Amino acid sequence: MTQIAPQDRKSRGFILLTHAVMIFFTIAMIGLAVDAGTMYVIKGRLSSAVDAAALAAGRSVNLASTVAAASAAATTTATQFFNANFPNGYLGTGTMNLSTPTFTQETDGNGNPNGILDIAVNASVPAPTYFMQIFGIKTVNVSGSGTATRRGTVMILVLDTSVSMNAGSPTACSQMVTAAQQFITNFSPYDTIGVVQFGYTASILYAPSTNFGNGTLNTLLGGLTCNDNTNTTSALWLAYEQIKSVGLPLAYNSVVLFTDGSPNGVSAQFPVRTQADTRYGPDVTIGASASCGSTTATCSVPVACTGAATQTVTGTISQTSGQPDQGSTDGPHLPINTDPAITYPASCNSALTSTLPGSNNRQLVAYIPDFDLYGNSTHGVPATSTPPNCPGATCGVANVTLKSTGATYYYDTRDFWRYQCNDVCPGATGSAATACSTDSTPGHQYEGGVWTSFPADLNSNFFTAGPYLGYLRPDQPTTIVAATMNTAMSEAYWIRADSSGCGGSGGNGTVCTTLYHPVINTIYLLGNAGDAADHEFLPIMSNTQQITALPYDSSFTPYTNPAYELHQESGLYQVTATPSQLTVLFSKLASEVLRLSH
Amino acid sequence: MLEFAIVTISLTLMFAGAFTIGAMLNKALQVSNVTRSAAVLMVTSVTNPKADLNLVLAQNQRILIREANGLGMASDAQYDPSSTGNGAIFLSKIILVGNNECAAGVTPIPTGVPPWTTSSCPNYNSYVFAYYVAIGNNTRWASAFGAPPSGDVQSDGTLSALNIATDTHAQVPTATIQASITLAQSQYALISETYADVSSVSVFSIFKPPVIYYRTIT
Repeated sequence: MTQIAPQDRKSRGFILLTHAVMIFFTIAMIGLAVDAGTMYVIKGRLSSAVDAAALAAGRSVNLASTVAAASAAATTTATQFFNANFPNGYLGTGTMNLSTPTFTQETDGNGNPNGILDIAVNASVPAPTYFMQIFGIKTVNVSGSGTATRRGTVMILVLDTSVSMNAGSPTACSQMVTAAQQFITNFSPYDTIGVVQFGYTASILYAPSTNFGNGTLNTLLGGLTCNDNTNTTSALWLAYEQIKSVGLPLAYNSVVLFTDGSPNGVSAQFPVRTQADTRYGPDVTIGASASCGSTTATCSVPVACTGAATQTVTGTISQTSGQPDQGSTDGPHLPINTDPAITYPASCNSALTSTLPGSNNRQLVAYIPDFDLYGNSTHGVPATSTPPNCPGATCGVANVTLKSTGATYYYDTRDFWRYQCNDVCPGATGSAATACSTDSTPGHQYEGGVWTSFPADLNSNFFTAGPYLGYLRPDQPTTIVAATMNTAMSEAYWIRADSSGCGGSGGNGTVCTTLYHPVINTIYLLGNAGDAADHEFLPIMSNTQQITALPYDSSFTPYTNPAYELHQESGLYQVTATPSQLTVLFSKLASEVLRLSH
Repeated sequence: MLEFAIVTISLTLMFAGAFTIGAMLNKALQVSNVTRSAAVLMVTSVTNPKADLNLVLAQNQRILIREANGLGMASDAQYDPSSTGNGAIFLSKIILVGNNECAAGVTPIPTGVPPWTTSSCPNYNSYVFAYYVAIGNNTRWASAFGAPPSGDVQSDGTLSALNIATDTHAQVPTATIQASITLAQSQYALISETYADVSSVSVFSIFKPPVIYYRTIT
């Protein structure tokens, strides 16, 4: 039998005793670990919940029109999303304390806002302890903070208030107003909205502001009237200036162009005519023959101004009656309502200039120069591909040689564009061409055409003889439309190129990194009047990848946008032939903008 | 020896339990982090197409599977997701269809619109999937909110504007979503869900932990 040594006998129970002592510390340590682990779980859930609350708060600020209301909406939404992620009483937690979301505009290194809104949400909750209660600690306050960012929106609505918008009942003008009023309700007081309207002259209806929801803009839109022409290019330039003046490079900077037809006002420093010439009348003012009493005949006209050929007049000349070569034009008008008053060189015939603005401007203006007032080419934009109908009668892509420099460019151009018929109306001239414009046969209407379809006319947008040989004519309505389509596409190109990224001022210059990444969205109301744009015009402005069918096209195969710029922003191009659907189109645009910006 | 045996048993049970609970807490925290990361990636993917972050692609899913290292969701050393693994991640965007979604999805615009109704826009005022991506073992687990028809889900996880507006099979039962959150028209929620079977951390089968489910609604 084994004997237990007296020394071992003294050790009997030591392990149990030691364990009894140790178990107290062991349980305490395990308890601490469990409590700490629980805290971590609660902390993790709380952090997740405040993150979600901050993001949701950022998205919800466009549910209200004022900062106070937006803040209230953000608080409600933040609470809602917080509760969805952190249920009341989660793991025995007490009453949650969720802060009101705070909104802070981010700034760049110089303290200037950059268009990003920071949304911060804080929350704290008392978390229960299980083992630490032994030491009198019943709860531990767990807190979390979440920050989200929201990309602001800077949007300039460019609204066509030309007289053609008065068609229909209710008028397209009133339906555009209703759609625009509804459209702005989609945005938040942390967004910036401005409105430019254009007829003969472009003007700011509402300077860009975050206060657009206070009712003022709504009232101004409600007071819009539609009563003259379509100076799209100046309006686009003005809109771009507004984007730059707001100066939020990280915001979603967008121009929304609404129009119901082709543009028809080209703005430039026009050389005055210092040489006798043969062109369309009227010329009743400065003493030409009686045959020049109308816009339908050409005749020799004496000089309008004496002196140097470098004299100019700055303004906008417009097409007014229809778009054939024989018709009325108007001007010069102010391109933008804040421009200096138009002055005429003293050397010009005062009997002529005293009748201006008016149709006689065609006798004063020598020709449409290669570049407009904003540096845009009056001949179009660089072509990046060749459409499937090239070469052919309706091809809009061609080599264009500038008269002023002799340089040749491969352009998507309307230099050879003629009226709104294409080759489905072969040989149409004069009244037949007019009839073509109102032809309701699908495929016969609202498509840009080319001169070759009208062999009996002068066959060119250019002077084909005389001292201004090779220059764009100012005396043909269709040429003014063609030149304006070119400048409008060019303006859109330069807006998207946004040369302000390298300190430039726009216009034809060095292309460099864009600062504002402007997006041009377009909405086209087709069929409201006879002066339609062609298939490519607005898609090119929006820089869509495809040229798609217009509503009247019975058979049309989409093709690649021949002026698509891979490195520029693409916008949404929408078209309808039904004015009552404008609200829906603006709504769709809002959906797109909100998806991209928030 | 007897005392030592008694003490050892109790200590072993205690430490095994502590290990299991601790490891499970660790896994739970990892699952929550994976879920939050998935939500962040989804926010980027959904709201910024230019980010070119297509979470349908395996190379982008690896971002999450790598973060889920140890949860048994990888099928290979490249961290490709395993369709038979121990976890699944579900990413959903659910939107309450309103005027803007109908305008975006229904073409040509029907006569008499606006206003939109369920006649002109079948999903009007209904909760609908606008995005859905399942990563990992989606045969063992499913999203708590269901799934849209697989044919509706495009190569980037989104549903077309047309399907959002018109495919009633893409709807989420109102009661299901409203049990978690109620949205306004055109408002959306981004939902990230993760399932993870963490039974491997169990020392004894009696300590077998449940499947961890974590969800964030952003």
